[in-house]
Amino acid sequence: MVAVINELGRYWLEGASQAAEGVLRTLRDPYPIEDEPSGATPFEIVHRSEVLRLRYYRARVRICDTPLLVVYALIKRPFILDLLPGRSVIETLTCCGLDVYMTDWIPPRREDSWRGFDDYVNCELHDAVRAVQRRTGAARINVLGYCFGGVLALLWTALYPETVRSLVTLATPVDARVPNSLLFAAAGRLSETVAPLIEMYGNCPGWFINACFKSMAPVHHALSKYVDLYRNRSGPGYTEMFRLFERWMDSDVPMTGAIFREVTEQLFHRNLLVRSEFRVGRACAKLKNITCPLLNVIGEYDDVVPPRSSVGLGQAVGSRDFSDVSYPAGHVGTAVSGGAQRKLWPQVAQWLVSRSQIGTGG
Amino acid sequence: MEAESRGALCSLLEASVWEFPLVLQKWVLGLGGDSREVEEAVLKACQAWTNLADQAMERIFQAEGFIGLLGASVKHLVQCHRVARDFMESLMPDSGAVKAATNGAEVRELSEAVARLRREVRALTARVNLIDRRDGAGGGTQESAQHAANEGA
Repeated sequence: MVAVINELGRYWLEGASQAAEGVLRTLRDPYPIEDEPSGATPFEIVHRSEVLRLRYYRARVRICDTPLLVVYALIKRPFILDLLPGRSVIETLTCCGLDVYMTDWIPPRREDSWRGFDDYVNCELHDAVRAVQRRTGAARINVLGYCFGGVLALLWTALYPETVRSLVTLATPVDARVPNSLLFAAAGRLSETVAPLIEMYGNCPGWFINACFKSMAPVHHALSKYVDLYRNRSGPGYTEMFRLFERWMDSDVPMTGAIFREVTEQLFHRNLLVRSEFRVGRACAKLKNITCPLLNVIGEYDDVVPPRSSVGLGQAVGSRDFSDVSYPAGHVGTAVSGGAQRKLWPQVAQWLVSRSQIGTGG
Repeated sequence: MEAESRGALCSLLEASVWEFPLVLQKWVLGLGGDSREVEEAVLKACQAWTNLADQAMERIFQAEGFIGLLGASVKHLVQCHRVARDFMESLMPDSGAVKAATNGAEVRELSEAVARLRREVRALTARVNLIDRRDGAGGGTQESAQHAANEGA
């Protein structure tokens, strides 16, 4: 019994100090990205700007000529998609024969607070897509968006449909009118709080985003996860996975003031995305413009983006080739669980390959 | 919901009031229970407590006015932070003067102008990219306006 108390106490202290380190990282300007886990798959940087590094992961044996651009979210660091061998979406996709590019958004500094969707979509994503097109010679590419990255991917595809061969959205919030979702309800009401927050900090601070996510499951973050760690500590790779996952949980980065204002107002408060009235600079992103094949991957037990928020996508877009895939996992488990690497992601890769014309270069 | 809460409460009572003391007593008196059983009983009680606490939090989250309270708390937090920052700055009056002397009004003005111009260039780049798309010229060979501008410079 003494061992339980000792070990739980030790885990709790380690967790608390890791969380404190995470908060300290969010307070640094610029946010330190150098000391991150290296990931399971080697990559090279093929394009770089002030807020974006474009990573390239080479296919083990390329069987699909259409490259895949993974659009990561603007909220945490992207190493969750390439965590460990056997727990990496990127590794699975490259093993399935896909050349993968991924947006690694550089955490914004205070002077970047003006950058909104107009800049991120019409400039940064635009340059990233052009860089992929130039490197591969493909006129059309495949796009995969995860969570908030899914929103960016949808906006991109709605505005530049001629550049996308097929689209995969993973745990993407589309309809913000979801009952019993604390995060969505709070985000909708945040629009009243945005102005003083932005005025004070310039950007939405990483610690604030971290606090919002953790307060959704306070008991889990304060205690349950350590009990689970104690129970499973002798499981193969569990402890390492737990530490890396916690490192990612505490990797919240600031969100630019303009994006934060636009997303709380347009997505969560006024629910404009699903109504095709979402403004990106001077343009309006009409989801009906999305006519390419679309695969919508939903985590059945997702408590961050509830499934009901994503299932309406099929009716909002203009694609005839549309399917929902529901996978029995949560928001992150859909990406990192071992089961997802064995069942879900090979299926997604196969779907992408089947929609791409092999040998035509796009 | 009610049945779930009742179930969680029963589990907690069973694990902490009945099972754990019993296993502990057996272990203390050397009546056959080993320390692993005690450990398992502690973990079970702990799990039962966290289940109940999770459900309690769920109830609190769904309570009327909770979201409003959350929003107001954030506002007050920001206000407190601002007051604290202003207070700290007022305690160090020299730092502002040093900054002003080092940077100078002209440098500050120029920096602001540069930042403003960069924003304008980015906004124009976004517009050009959108127009390119509408004209059907976005087929993979077009450089963004900013790239072109950078290369020209």
